[in-house]
Amino acid sequence: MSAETSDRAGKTRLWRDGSGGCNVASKERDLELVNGYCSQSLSEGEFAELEQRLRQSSEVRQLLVEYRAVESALPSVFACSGSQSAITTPAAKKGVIRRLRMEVLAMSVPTLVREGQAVRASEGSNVITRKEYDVAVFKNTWPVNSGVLQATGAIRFVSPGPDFLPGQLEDNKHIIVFPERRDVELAEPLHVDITDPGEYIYIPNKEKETIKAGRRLSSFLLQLRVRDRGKDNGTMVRAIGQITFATPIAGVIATNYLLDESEVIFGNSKVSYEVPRGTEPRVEGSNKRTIYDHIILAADQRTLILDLQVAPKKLDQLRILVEAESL
Amino acid sequence: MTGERKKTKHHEAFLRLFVHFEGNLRAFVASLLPTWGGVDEVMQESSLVLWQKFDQFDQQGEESSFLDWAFMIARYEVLKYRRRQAMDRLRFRDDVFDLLASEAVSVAERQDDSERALQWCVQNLKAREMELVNAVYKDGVVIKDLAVQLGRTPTALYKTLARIRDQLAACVRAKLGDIEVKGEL
Repeated sequence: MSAETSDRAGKTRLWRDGSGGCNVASKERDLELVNGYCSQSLSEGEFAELEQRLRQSSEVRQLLVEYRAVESALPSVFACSGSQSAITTPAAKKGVIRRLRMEVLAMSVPTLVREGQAVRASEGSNVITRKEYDVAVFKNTWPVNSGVLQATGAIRFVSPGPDFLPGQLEDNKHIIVFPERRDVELAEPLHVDITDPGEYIYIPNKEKETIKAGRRLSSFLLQLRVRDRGKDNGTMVRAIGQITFATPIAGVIATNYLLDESEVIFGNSKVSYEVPRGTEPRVEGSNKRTIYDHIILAADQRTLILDLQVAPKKLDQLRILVEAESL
Repeated sequence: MTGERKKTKHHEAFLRLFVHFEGNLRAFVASLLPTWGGVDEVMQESSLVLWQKFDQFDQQGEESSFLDWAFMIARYEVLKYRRRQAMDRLRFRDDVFDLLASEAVSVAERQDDSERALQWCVQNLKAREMELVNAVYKDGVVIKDLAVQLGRTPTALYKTLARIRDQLAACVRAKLGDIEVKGEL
């Protein structure tokens, strides 16, 4: 038995039989409805039609669930690092190139390459050509090459380039990692908030830990900055994630004034750092807030687990100092 | 082990599990709610409830049992959210909600594989398509604003996004098939 009906949108639906089996036109309509649902562009009539189809067909239910699963994964895939884990490709699992040294020989025309620019050099040619600055292909290796072995959960690695600075990036869901200066020898002792493994729900209001002069350190700034969420501004945003560095963590800085102090050594001169911006683990003895940031420095001394909560338009920052890698 | 140290281990165990399965849980919740604002709210509430009730979870059992437990709690949180949004016009009736929830479990359990497949699949998008998806899904730009910015109509952008979604979903499905057959992508 075959019946033909015309729906509200003027689409023709052909039913092969009465059992709910459908032909190509009907499948196309199902796709339209599911896509309309994902885009939140369905009229009430179309929504009722989709609801009916979901009731009738497990295929349509699976379609809708699959599409929503793809959508929910897209922010992770498109985030700064582009991946949940920095080590996802077979090549990266087998071994990681930690340092790359490139020599370009026999260049006929000297070419100045600035940060944020890209060039192409080919074997057999002595000409250097400019190309589009596109870092997408390095998204998996860049964190590893910067000294981060793995970042999972709501932690994302910023793309390499001069335009990706802490003050300019807002992300409603992720803690963003910005590599700062590498292999800096401390000329003077440096105060930090945390040096020992443990869970920190408050920063002890005591004399700060000190990293001795002469230590060679590299720095990473971690940031949770939430954009204006309009009518949802009353809701705190929470981000939980874990990051493992290639070398031991020498110290964590979480308070405003120590962030300021360490900026002189590890900060980026192009960035105008905002205040207040430190994470807000409770100061010892204070019971004013009911929601706190949690920082766990794991026993391996390389892994940090963060559970940060921040209000819209506000900023949480942490500076992580790790041992410089020996070249 | 001191009380403080035990508490730290407890929290660490929870965060490790939550971080590991967060993507699966988000996919599950997204299957049951139409708006991303709702998904975010339910994820927040679910994470708090999971932490508050973590004592009741059998930590000696299989790691994957955390996901079953998390699905159960998230489903309850979605129901609570639905009750608060009773006037929402895009709200499935309870029978359809139950059918979707059953379907969502099996899909969300494979979300890790789906994400890996998706990472491969997005490489096939054109640069402009990537920019559009990036703007909508990562940056959360509203389609109407984006349409003005790009000088296109919202309808045209909806159609482009629909085509991209179709393409990505088909690609992920094929890749998941490959994983089943070959054991890897």
